[in-house]
Amino acid sequence: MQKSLLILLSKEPYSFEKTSLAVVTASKAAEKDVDVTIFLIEDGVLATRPNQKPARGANFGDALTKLIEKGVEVLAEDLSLAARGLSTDKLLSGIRISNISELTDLIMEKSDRVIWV
Amino acid sequence: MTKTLTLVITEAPYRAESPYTAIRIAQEARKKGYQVNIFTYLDGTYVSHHKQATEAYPNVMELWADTIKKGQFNPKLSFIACVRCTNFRGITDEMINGVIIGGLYDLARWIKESDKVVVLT
Repeated sequence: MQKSLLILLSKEPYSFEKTSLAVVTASKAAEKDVDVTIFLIEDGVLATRPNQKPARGANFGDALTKLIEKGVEVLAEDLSLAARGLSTDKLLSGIRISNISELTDLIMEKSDRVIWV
Repeated sequence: MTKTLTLVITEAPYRAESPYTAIRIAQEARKKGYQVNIFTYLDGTYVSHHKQATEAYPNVMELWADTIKKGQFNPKLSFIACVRCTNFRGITDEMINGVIIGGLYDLARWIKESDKVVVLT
């Protein structure tokens, strides 16, 4: 039976190595036929912005888009977006708005493993 | 059978957002009927330090005090602070009501007994 992995990312995309760790882990798990969900919460929702143009290094927006194309589900928490004044109609294509209720269901009922990077 | 969620808080309040996010997840989990265990470790032990007086931010101590009080009734919420961490910080005798001073052996037991364990960063 297909296993499921939930990855929580709560930090802004360009300050920590853990962001790339989340992307690589999600990508490798998806290749191994694991059902992967990335849940963006707190400052993690800053990664939902389209048109990210880092001066150098990996583009996290592009990385998320590639993961979504691979079948990884990417969710962003509604209150974290609202707290930062981020409009919900300008998310990277394919990201879905979620909430604490759905997160609790994902943790307790729908994921075999949960990691908060 | 009631499922159990263990949350481990490692970060200090007012610096990281996760001590506050943990409250939101804990309250939602209880609302859905899950038992909740909270283990605070390292600077996470500051969340239940008494006499916090915040103005600009939600008071994490008051929110946890309320959550712990409600957690006396089913579904239960248990709250353990790591004794070594509170001793290091000199706050062992300055915890809010309902906090149990414990140790990593308790966390090990909770990891064994829980359906899910999430370590917040």
